[in-house]
Parts: sequence; C-alpha cells; structure tokens
Amino acid sequence: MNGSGWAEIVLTIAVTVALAWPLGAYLARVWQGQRTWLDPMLKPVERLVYAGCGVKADRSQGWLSYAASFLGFSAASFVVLYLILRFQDLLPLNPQGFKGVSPDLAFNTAVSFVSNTNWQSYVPEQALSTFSQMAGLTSHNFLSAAAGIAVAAAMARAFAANRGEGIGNFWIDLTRITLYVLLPFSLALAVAYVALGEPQTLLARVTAHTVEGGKQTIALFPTASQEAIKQLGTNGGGIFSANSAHPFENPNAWTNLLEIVSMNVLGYACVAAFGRVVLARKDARALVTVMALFVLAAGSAIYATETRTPPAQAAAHVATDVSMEGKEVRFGAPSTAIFAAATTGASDGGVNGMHDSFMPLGGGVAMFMIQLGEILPGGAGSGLYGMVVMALIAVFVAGLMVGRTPEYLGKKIEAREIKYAMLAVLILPLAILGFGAVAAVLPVALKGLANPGAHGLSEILYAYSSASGNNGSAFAGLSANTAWWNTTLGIAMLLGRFAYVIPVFAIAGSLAAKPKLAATAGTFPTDGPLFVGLLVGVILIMGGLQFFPALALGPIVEHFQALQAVAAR
Amino acid sequence: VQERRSPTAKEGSMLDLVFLALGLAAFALFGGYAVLLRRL
Repeated sequence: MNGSGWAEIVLTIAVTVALAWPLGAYLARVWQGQRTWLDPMLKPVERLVYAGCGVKADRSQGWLSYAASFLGFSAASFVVLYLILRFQDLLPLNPQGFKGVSPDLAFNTAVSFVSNTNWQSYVPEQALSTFSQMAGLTSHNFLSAAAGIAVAAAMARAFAANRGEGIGNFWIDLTRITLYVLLPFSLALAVAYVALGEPQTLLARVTAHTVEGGKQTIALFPTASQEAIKQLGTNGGGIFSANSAHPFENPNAWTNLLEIVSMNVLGYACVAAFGRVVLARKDARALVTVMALFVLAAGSAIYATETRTPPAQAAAHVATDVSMEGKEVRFGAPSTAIFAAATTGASDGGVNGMHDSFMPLGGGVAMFMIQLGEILPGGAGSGLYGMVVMALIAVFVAGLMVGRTPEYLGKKIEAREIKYAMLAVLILPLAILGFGAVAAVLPVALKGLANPGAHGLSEILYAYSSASGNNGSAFAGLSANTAWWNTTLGIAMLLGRFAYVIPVFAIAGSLAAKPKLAATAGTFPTDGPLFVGLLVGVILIMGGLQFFPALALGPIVEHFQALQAVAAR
Repeated sequence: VQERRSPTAKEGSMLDLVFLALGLAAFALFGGYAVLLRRL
C-alpha cells in the first residue's frame, strides 16, 4: 500500500462522480423529451424510427403497459439473439468459420445479453463469429442498457407526477436513450480507444513472427467499438476471454482509467438526472454519496487485502508486500482493486484481473458488492431504481422508528409500496442461495468446479451472484459451459432482471398515482448525513443478513484456512 | 472450457424448442406476475 495507490482510487471515483453531473443534466433533457445539442442531427432519425415502428410520440403508458412493452421487447430480443447464435454458420461475417453454438449455450448467452448481464460461458474468440459479436451481442449491449435506463426514467416520472396516470412511453424512452445517449457517447469513446491503441477491424486474425522464430496467430475483432458500449452500458462482456486484462481490450493505464470511469458514470448520472426530473437535487446527491462511499470502501478493502504479504509467501520468507496473482503487471494492485470495486458495484462485469485469484477476503468483497444488489452505483438505469427501492425501505424503517407515515420525495410510502419493494429485494437471495445450495450438493454441478472446499463454494456463490445480480463477471475456476450451469445461470439471470423489475414497475405506477405532498416540519429529511447513514446501514444490514452465513462458509473460512495452514507448518 | 459432444441435428432441433420455450415461458410468467401485482 502506498500514497499513490490510495490517491488513484480516490481520484478515479472523484473524476467519475464529477463527470456524472453534466451527463445527468443532459440525460434529464433526453428523458423529458427536451431539445438537446444533437437534435439537428438526430431528430429526423428519431421521427423516422417512430414512423417506421408506428410509435405515437404523445402517448403515455400506465405501468402495466410499460412493463408489457419492456417484457415483449426483451422476449423478442431473446429469440432473435438465440437464432443468431445457433445459426451463425449460415450468416455472413464469419471469417473464422465457426459453427453454431450449442442450444444450452445459445440460451444462456441470449438471456445474458438481453438481461444486460453478459455472463460468458464460452471463449469468445474461439466460439463467436464477427457477425454474432457485432449484430448479436454489441447491438444488445445498446438495447439492454437503454431498456434499463428507460425503467429509471419511468421511475423518475413516477416521483415527479402529481396524481398522474402514465409513467412515459417505453418505445420513446428506448429510442431516445439509444440515439441521444448511448450511440454518440459510445462513438466518442470508441474513437478514443482506437487512438489509445485498441484494434478496430473486421479481419479475423493476424499472424505474428515471434523473436524465437515461431509463428503466433492472434485473433482480431472490432474491439474498440465493443469496448465502448461494453463499459458505458454496464454490460461487461468481453470480445476476448481475458476481458479487460487482454492487451487489445485494455492496452494501457489511460484506457484502464477510461473504462473504470465509463462503467460507473451512467450509474451516477441516472441519479443526477433523477434529481433534476423530480426537483430533488440534494436528495440525489445523498444517493450518489452512498454509492460512492461503498465503491471507495470496497476499492480500499480490496487494495488492502491485495497489498499484504500472502500467508504462504510470508511463511516462505518471500520478500513481497503485494499479491500479484491474477493481476496484470501493467496495472498492478490499485488499478485492479478500483476496477474490481467499480465493476462489481455497477453490474458491469468487465474485469482487468481475475477475482478468483484475489486473496480470499478480496474476492469476498467483490462478491459482496454484487450481493448488495448492484446499486453501487449499479447498472445502467438498474442502479437508480434499485437504490430507490432501498431508499423506500430506509424511510419506512425511519418512519417506524419515529412513528410517522414515511414519505420520500413528496410521495407517501405505504404498505403497498413496501410489499413491492420486499418482493424485489428478496429475488436476489432466493436465486443466489437457492441455486447455490442445490449446486453445492449436485454432482453434475460440482463437476464444473476447479477447486474443492471453501474456494469451490466461493466459485458457486460468485457464479449465481454474478448471474442473479446481472453482473456477468466470472470468478474463474468454474467450467460453466455445461447444460446444468448454462440453464440454471440463465434462469438466475432472468429472475435477477425481470422478476426484480416487475415490482419496481408496480412501485412506479403506485407512486405516480399519488398526490405530490409538500415537505413539512415532520418530514424526515432525505438529503442529509443522517439519511446517508441510515441508507448505508439498511443496505449493509440487508446484505449482511442475507449473505453473511454463506460468505462465512466461502471466502471468510478460506481466509482463516490460509492462515491456519501457514501456522501449522 | 470442457470438451462436449455436439448434439446431432435432430437432438439440436429438439433442444432448440426446449430452450426457446423455456425462455418464452419465463417471459410469459413475468407478464402474469405483473398482472398479479396489479391486483394486489
């Protein structure tokens, strides 16, 4: 540990949060249908999309209709992507000559990219054609992220409404967010990545002659464009198996910084936009503070665990104060630590180091960040609505303590909203612990593990946490391309995305219909340090109550086993 | 990545139906869940 490492972690978070405010202001204009600086160029395209798809721009939807559009769009996307992956050998742009992927892998991958998870049970450069990567996966990187941000926009409108009936129009939100936010910013990022050394080509491979006189075939893809939306849309699926540890995906310290910033900036920006739409900027600042505090704490904790002498090396008197296993030498411990905290807090899933190779507690912190609900700052859009669910529970708890009906941002929070909120937050433990418990005793599941004992349990827990939280990062050490893992992880991804979001829509619909109340002297303030502390406590206690027993059997016991093994020598 | 036997064309078609049906059934269930919540 050193000063420059700590400074890197703090500065990375500070730069991300600082950039989120102007982006949030812009995003709020997009959500509200207001004029933007891209209108002269994109307005005709937007009109064309509405005309082509028969969308009526002045029609607002109720929450059930909005949810039906969201589900219908996702279901259609699932079928299209499934067919692309299965029949990629019959489709163009397959210079690699790959066959169609297996049915269970196509199911897993289609669900994965439709749910903004981007879990990858395959080695991309050895399984997917350029067409599958571009038309199949990259397009869904845009659309699934836009769909998530659309839900966040609907939630913002629900809080802004005064006895309203609608929460917006899904098709308009999807179109505007894709056209005005994701496409232009991804284009700018892709150009920056190319300038910083990432390849952007349709060539399948290049042959290099090594200094020893041998030949090496190196896979190529249009990497920069995929990398841009991979991080901005909190998708995380790599075009190469090594993800952002691959020198083509993440060649240097500048691309590394850009990737961390871009994977978190939209999460914070959605909250900033929410604050503008709801006219509650101070409350939005409090939510952003909570998010940033958790990323700072997680990054610091991982940095601390990865810069202690590993017990086995200490016993062998190896002079080292950093555990470099699983880390790129180009990035070192601090850049890996903040990347891991940012990617697991954001439901991104891109990695620049292998979390499986972290010290047990470091890997445990990464896993716990996912289990806290992917709200820190969370995925594109999903971070905001997940955090709002937590805020509702926090004001409900505060209301119980002081004996008043809880309110949040001018809306009375009653039993109905809390029931919906609980239905949402219980999905994660149900999917993670339910599937995890079955997999821990089922031989067909255990075959995929590379490690026995506590570390093996960590691999199982991480896989289901990653899938259910729609994160998509892999712990490594798990061979997941089997029928069991592909199917159950696919179901976990579906539950984590869609079973969570349905109660969120119901909350939005319920709140939209309520009158907007003015704050009184008895209103619990939700913009100050007391609320920040309360919200941090609620998130930690809920996460701890749900997952601490399982974590105790995985990374925590592994930590003590490592210490004990060294002491016994 | 584990080595796996590729399914035959017939097995593949059957499995395609199974997995497509599984995915679409899940979306239908989520839709039903939304209707249920509406009545809550």
